[in-house]
Amino acid sequence: MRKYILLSTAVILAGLLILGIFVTPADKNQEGMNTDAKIAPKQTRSPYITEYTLPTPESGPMAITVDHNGEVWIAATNITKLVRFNPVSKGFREFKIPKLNFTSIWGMVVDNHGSIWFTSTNDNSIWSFNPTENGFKQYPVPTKDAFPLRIAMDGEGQIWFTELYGGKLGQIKPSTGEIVEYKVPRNRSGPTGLSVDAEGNIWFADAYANMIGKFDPRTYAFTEYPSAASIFSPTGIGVDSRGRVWFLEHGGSLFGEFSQSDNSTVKYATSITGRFSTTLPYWLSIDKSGNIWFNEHSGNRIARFDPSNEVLVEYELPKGQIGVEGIVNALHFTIAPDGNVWFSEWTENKIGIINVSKPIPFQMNVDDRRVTATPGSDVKVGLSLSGTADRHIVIQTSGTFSFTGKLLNATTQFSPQQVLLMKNSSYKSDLTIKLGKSLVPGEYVLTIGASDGDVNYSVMVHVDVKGKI
Amino acid sequence: MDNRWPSVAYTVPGPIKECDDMKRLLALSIISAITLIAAYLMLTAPSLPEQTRISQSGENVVIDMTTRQWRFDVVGVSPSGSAKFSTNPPEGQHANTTITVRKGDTIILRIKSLDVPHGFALEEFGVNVFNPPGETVEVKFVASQTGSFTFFCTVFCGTGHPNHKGTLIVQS
Repeated sequence: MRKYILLSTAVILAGLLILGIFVTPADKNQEGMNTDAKIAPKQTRSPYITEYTLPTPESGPMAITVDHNGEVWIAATNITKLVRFNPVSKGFREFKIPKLNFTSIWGMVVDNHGSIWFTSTNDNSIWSFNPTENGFKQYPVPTKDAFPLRIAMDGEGQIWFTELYGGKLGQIKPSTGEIVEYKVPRNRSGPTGLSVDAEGNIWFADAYANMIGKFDPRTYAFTEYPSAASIFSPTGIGVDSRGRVWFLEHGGSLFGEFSQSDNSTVKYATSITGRFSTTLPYWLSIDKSGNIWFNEHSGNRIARFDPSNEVLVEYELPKGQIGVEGIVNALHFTIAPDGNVWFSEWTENKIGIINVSKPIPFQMNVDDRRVTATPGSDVKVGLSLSGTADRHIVIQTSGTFSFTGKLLNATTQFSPQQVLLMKNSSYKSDLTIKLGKSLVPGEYVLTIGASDGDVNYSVMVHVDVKGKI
Repeated sequence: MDNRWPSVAYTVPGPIKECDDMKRLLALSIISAITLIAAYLMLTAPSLPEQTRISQSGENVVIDMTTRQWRFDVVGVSPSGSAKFSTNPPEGQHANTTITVRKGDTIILRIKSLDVPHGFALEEFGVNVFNPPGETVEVKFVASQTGSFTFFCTVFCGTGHPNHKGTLIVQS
């Protein structure tokens, strides 16, 4: 009898061992099983990115900026400290924010004198920090529970901020410390991002009103742009040197340009990941060359869009160990004077820098950037890839056919979907865009991307869908 | 009579006894394998911390939901009686609430925000609404296609915004 007990025990143990081999944590994770494995990055490092871990564990880095000396300032929200990082010595130094135990800091800016200004939600305040004197100063927001969010400085050195729950713009005059608030003239308003144009106007995104607006500090006049009513749940906003207003839709996966001259809006889609339904473009900044930079919260990327050639480059951030689906929660980024991009990893307790001058070892192009078609028809677009290094490339498409970037009422076909691109070689193929019969006529933009797992390189094709003749 | 070795006869090796051993071993192996497979299926069944409701096909189903940072919760279903609920996940845990309905049902969602402004989108069914705090927003759609569809918050609501989502399963 003992023999049978031993034998059956051995069989059970063997079975458990086999199950242990096949039942991995990833298999148990249903969301993981739903991911689009063709482009989901799994690497823990990127050749474009260097990361640094903050000295205090779980410090919650959120807002980040770079001062005039090239030093990086980080808001460590869980420990309510400002953290300074010297990129040369790699040294950190922490500065405790008085009175605060926990807060969220969504915005940070450096003024002309080197002081650090930042928002703080839990104590409903704006703070400044003078690094020379190690002195903090608090500016309580007059409106109760206003949720001060983003912050910017105008050409005269005055500080502006948005109040998400207050529905207002706020202004601080550093000379007097006085806070003046301007209420957006509508019942439902949730100002998120803001940007100051060359004329001193304050542009803001309104996530609750689904619009972008402009405030003229000289006349105190608000201007809403109802023509941009199709803008959905915007957060990041920026005005480029040509006066074009760029915005991000945090309800989905789209970003776009609003033209003041003709009140027109053009939208683009990020590439999509499969990890989440949306990539959640977040905050926006424009570099000296006019490139539009933004972070994708659930896309787990930092993106650069060049308006001159409509090329979108998305840097995949290294996979995190704590965040859901491996996202590092890059809640904030900033462009340093040298052009490199610094970002925070809220759940990974790290900051990172993207080496933007590192060449991307492949490129993609299409024969036609604008095509015309009717619902129910097919359109072919010639696609070419070239590389300077051996790369395994995956082709992917998304578009403005839906606010999430998914191709609703449209599909694309190309074969093969994956290409082994050899060094100094090129590859050509046709991509077929199949438009659904129920597609509403209008202009759509298709994002055709190539990814090697570290970076996505996408070009935009405008699809003008005409009604049936 | 020596009672110390009562089973000595069964330990004597021989062709017939070996055959019996093999049969018993085979039977034990099959039983063990079935037990292990059953245990695996039970452990991996996607039912635990979610709210599940199987409705009747073609009926009007009213689902009362709450939304907050950063979860959706089903708090009531009408008509009652045919609903099958499991418990909500503990506070502080990410909730990927699942609602199961039948194809052809007309779904009426009544969504109330308990804290800050949120949004609710179910893209495949053309649903996309804004949820002001304290207010209940009603949306109506026909579950016209089968499959698994993600519903999610569409308004900036803080750091956990990407996790603010759930799943609608439409069964045939």
